[in-house]
Amino acid sequence: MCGLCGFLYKDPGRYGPVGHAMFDMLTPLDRRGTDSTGVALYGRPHDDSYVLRVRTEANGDTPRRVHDALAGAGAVSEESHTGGNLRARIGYAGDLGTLTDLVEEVPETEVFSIGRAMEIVKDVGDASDVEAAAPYKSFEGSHAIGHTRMATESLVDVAHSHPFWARPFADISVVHNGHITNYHKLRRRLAGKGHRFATGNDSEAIAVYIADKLEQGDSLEDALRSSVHDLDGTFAYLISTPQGIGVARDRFALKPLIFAEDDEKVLIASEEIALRRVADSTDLKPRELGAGEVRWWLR
Amino acid sequence: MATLISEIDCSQHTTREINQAIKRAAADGVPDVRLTNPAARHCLAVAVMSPTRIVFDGPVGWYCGGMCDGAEIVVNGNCGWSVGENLMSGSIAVHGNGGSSAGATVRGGRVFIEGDTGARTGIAMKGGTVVVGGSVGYMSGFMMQRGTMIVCGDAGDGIGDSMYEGTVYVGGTIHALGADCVEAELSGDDRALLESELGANDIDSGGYDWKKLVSGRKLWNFSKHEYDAWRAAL
Repeated sequence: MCGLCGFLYKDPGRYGPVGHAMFDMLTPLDRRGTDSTGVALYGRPHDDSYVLRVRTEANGDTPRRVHDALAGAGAVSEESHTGGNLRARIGYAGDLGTLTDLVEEVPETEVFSIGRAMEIVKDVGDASDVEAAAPYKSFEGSHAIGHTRMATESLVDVAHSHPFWARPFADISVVHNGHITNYHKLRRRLAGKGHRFATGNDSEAIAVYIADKLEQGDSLEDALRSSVHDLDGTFAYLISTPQGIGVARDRFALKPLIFAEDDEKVLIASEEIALRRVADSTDLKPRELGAGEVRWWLR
Repeated sequence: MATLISEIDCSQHTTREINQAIKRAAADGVPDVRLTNPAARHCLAVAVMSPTRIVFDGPVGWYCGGMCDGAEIVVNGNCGWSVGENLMSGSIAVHGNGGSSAGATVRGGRVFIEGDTGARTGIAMKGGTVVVGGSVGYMSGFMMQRGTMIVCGDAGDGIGDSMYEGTVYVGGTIHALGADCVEAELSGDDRALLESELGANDIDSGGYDWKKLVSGRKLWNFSKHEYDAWRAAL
């Protein structure tokens, strides 16, 4: 059991307090799991640089070594370090897999995300714990997805927390509730195409699966529809790209997922209690996603 | 003398306090309890055993009205999964959309959802009536044993799958019948029942193309000569 949520401003020029929306939505979802909590936040994109979120040792020399590694690849700016969470912007035009390797060659580091706009913040504990460890409530952006985790397989640690970045594809992330039973087969197939994985978590494979489809030229709609047939098991997931958010639910509708929208915004969550923390209007009538149904909202 | 509570602001209380207050009010003979700011909280008004009228001004979460016996519950908003689960008697009316498993294992009474509901609506009903003003999701009416389910809108895949008895009426499109669910001829009594049940919610039963679904009864007893039917069901 896990909790999912998403928030998107429909107007492509609109940016707002999506960090605060995530915090408010994730807080009541803690009953669906407090092993870990995380968000993928989409700010204003920078065409000439990437923003990195990296997990490092809280103390010691690691942040400086990460800085040195990044400085060797491009111009580093907006660098900050809170506890074990490092954020930096880098002017870089090369391959993101290479950049990821460069950072992770520093011991005790893990790249959470690289994107023009996307920043992943996650840690063990609930929404408040993560806010204390790596503040995200004040983040202004276009859209965001969030997750509270109750681990049923793989480790309870930061690395196995959601959202998962579809490494090394910029700005693509996933949050998932459920269990992908053909995970090993799916991962082998994607690994055979040259894709790499940071964890042994089945949800990470969904992110890479969708990113691979998009790279092949599929639309988000096509990728979502394919996933309903290619993924076995139970799932409700949100996939986020720079353009928007897509959602899918398995053919047995075993995991909850509802959505509601008005002219301004789209709200998605496992339970309505999360929606009501950010929208109390009775005009907003949530509807449950059907079995095998997919939906997507692009800015 | 116990305090007669007629209005409860949910935002000021825990779920346990709310349910205890509802039951105290019911025991004290308060005929009408109004609850504000439920904010989609789970497990509200569960196991109320008296004919109290309970009105929620706003959405409720999962399991609202479960196991109630005689209460009249009105939700002016949506509800989450399993509204009215195992309802014994009384009624629940939801003026909004519902979630999955609405009216699951209902034994008596009546559950009405004005909008759409999700998968497995009316699963394993053992009596009573479930009325959905909109559409129902995948595998609704699965393993129904008694009772009546009325769906004004469309029915998702697998409607009435493996139902033992009971009746399902669908006014819209049926995506696919479930295993051993068959269409039966609609009688004058059926039309009268639809008119009466829907009329109670101000819905004109005449505006629909009603289909009546019942059990084909081929799964009641195993027969090796009907291997294909069992293989499809299992």
